[in-house]
Amino acid sequence: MAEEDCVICSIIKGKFPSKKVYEDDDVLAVLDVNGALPGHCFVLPKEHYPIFEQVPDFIASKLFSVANKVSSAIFDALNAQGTNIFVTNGVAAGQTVAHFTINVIPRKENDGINLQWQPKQLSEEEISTVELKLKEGTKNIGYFEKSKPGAIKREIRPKTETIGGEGEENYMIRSLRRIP
Amino acid sequence: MTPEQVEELKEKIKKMSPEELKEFQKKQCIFCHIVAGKVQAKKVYEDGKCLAILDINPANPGHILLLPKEHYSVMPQLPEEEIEHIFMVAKSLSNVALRTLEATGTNIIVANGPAAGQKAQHFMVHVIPRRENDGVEFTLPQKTISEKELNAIQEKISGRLSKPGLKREAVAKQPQIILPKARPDIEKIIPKAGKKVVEAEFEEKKAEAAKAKKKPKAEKKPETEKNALKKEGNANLDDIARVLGVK
Repeated sequence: MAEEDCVICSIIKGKFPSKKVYEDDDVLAVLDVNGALPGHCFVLPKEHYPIFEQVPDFIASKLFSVANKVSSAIFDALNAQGTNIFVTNGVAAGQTVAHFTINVIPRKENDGINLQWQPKQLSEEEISTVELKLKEGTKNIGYFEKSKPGAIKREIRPKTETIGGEGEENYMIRSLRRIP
Repeated sequence: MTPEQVEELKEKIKKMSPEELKEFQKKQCIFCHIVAGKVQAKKVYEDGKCLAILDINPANPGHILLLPKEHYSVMPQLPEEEIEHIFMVAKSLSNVALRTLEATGTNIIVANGPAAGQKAQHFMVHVIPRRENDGVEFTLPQKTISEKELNAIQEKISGRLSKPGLKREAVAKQPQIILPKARPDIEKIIPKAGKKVVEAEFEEKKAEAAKAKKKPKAEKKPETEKNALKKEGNANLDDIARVLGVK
């Protein structure tokens, strides 16, 4: 989905009304109008990134640190017994809007929300293949983009004034060298 | 355990100082034992601050638990740098799971408190690789909430988020990104403008310092509130008891 069609981008630009609870240059937190429970919040990057992998590291860390603050505020303000931070990344994971979203959900006992799973029984072989594959992949983790990359340093070359074509010796100099 | 022993344990916990309590929790915590290497686990990633292991009760093959090495029971107790680091790692792990396990999606879940489904007293981030029709279903019911209720909640939450501490932090961090340190050539082009930015920043800081001197009480407030929150997190005896298997 393009940025122009994105509902969340229109909310961020103010085309749709929303209940904002926090805003800064990169992050917006709004209340979900059809939330699972009153107080269900979305924490959103202001730039349009459909999935987690496209969110730059420094924005991702900022988003989750805001999510943590929202979660603390929910504990305080709504006397919640718990909170969930929940991200659906990809349609298979239940993502419905193509704009990366962190759900912060206030929880109470028996509130009808199900974020539990039935444990799957895996064979030893399956577990070790998965382990090996992941280990191979995680070898490359370690470099994080902690701030916005600065502009690339450019060297400004002093302009040399040349008459005539580049790489070709000036015809006047050439004519001076000529031995009559 | 007999009811008398339970009472005894509860009394013991009540008398503990926050440090002792943390130490006590650490001793009981299976994940702290894993971090220390006393209990075996399938480690898939490790660095100075955190550890990622495979869940022994996975929702899907490749279900990863990402833990801070330090013991924290819930997310609000974590220092901000650790949260930032852990979720950058979570992002990379989600990326790795998508690529290496041919998953078509990932879920990232944090549960704070038993009501939210937290089972162990050690903060962790679940990274769950997903495929279509994999039998995992997370349901978030949708409810229509009245305008009145929404407005009341908005006021309550945003009031807590617009505390001076939080906003100033957000403002203070920006100049680090904007400052043209990475391009010294900008000073050559517009030297005066460059200097002005720095000067303006200095003046801002001076003004802030002056403000801080004038209002020392307002400055101290957020700290005490943080402490109060930490204590609350530690002193939740029922939760600890529940995890220990006490009913």
